[in-house]
Amino acid sequence: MDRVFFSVTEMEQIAARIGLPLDDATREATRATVEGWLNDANDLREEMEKPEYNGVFPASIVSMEEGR
Amino acid sequence: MTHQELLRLSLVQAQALIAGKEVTPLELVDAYLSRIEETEAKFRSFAEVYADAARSSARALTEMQAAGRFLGPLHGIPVSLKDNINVKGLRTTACSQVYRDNYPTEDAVVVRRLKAAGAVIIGKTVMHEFAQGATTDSPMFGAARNPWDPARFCCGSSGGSAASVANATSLASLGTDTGGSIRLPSGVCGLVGMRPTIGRVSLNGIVPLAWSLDACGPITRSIRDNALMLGVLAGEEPGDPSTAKRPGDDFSRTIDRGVKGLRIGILPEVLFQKDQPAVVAAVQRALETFRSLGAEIVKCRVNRLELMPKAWSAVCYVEATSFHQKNLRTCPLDYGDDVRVLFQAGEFISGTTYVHAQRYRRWLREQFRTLFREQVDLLLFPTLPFTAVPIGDYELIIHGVKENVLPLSGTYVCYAPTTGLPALTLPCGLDERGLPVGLQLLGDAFREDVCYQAGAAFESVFHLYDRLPGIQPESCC
Repeated sequence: MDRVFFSVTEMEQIAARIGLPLDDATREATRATVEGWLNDANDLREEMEKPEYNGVFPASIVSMEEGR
Repeated sequence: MTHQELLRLSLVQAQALIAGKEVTPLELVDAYLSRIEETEAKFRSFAEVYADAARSSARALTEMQAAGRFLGPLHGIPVSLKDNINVKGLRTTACSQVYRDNYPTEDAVVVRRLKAAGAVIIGKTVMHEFAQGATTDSPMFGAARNPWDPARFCCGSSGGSAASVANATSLASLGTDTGGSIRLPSGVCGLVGMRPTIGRVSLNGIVPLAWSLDACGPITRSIRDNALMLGVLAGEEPGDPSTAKRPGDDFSRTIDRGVKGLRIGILPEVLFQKDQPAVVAAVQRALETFRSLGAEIVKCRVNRLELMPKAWSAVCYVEATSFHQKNLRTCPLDYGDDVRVLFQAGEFISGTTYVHAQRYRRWLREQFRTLFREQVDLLLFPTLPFTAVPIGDYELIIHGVKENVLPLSGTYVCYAPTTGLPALTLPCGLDERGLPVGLQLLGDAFREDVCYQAGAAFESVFHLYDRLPGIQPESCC
């Protein structure tokens, strides 16, 4: 799977579609943050595709106690 | 006793004097309220002070004391709460305009437990807005100031809680910790802070940042004070799925066991990459101290730690954005800009990324638990790579390179929330300016007792509880 990114225009289209108002004061910082996190998301996906993670269930809110 | 003498008492000492009827709850609470009155304008630790209610509670507890009745181990002890912890009928703002009219109808479980043990809730402390940040500079209350140097920050997000304990305006405080928010401010204020195992302490009635990462715990002057507080807070809460099916514990019981034979691990690959020299020196001295006390220092390795902050971010911001989703649409400008950016950006993390991150967390937790089963009893880290910086000046030169301290503050504190394991911070030295350096001990799940055991042994050699700024003669009322 290719690494996934989207452009500023695409981010703004998604924000408009899901009703998230982006104001001028924070639009650029939000874009930069999203770009960084998309990069992290691609790293995570590539890592979790490795066979050593087969069978690992996601952590959950109460998972610190054995058996829950 | 004079106010100055009362303020110098540790929680454990105050408890003993109240039990022996040598000090009354009213005398103790009065000393703290006077100190707040005299110093609050300078330090800005509190969102709200409950002077009348605290005096009234203290009076009732004093009458009980005279009749020989004691509610519990915190009878008459003045405790403050981070402003994301609900108290029935009193405003909880999380230091955000979004919650300016938020008046909870129930006490948080931790508040109920504190009151049942006899604590006097003296006020709510300032925090970074919605616990999402490490400067404790909120749009509602401005920047909290570090009692060791009021021009410097007290980190965050539970900055007001730590500042109030270091400034002797409360004898103990409760904070919350999603990425380091109990341990970071405790570290830069020379205090003891415990982030317990996820599930150890109920989160019911606390404004969440990220449900699967959040924890609530005590900030105190000393290890013994902290163990006593956690004993009051810990234990299963019926009907609360966030607590583990475990009873409470007396964490003071095993505190004097020492560290002889204890295996304390370090991860050389992650240690001291971008740390100030004073931090490196203090932590290395701490390692020598543990060795001289009989502990074995073990070099360990955990693979793929570089993914940890990425997984932590994905989980934190998806959960935080989920909690704030409606308000981000109805009142977005009520959030401070720094917090709004992060919560908006959280909308763009996909569901599959969130699951990848949660699977990585489970995998990483197993790596750490295997380490605890097979090689070590504790892992040791600095709490932060630096000491308190000036408010508003968040860049430092470390090893000749300019670094932003805000991302750097997470260097050593993300292990505990990402894995769900407990971590204790305690002071281990002072830098060249006389500012505290923090040391962190990460334990196995539900082994806070081992953290306290090692912490108490170290504290017998080095401590700051009798040198805190709030109890120095020149600063006392």
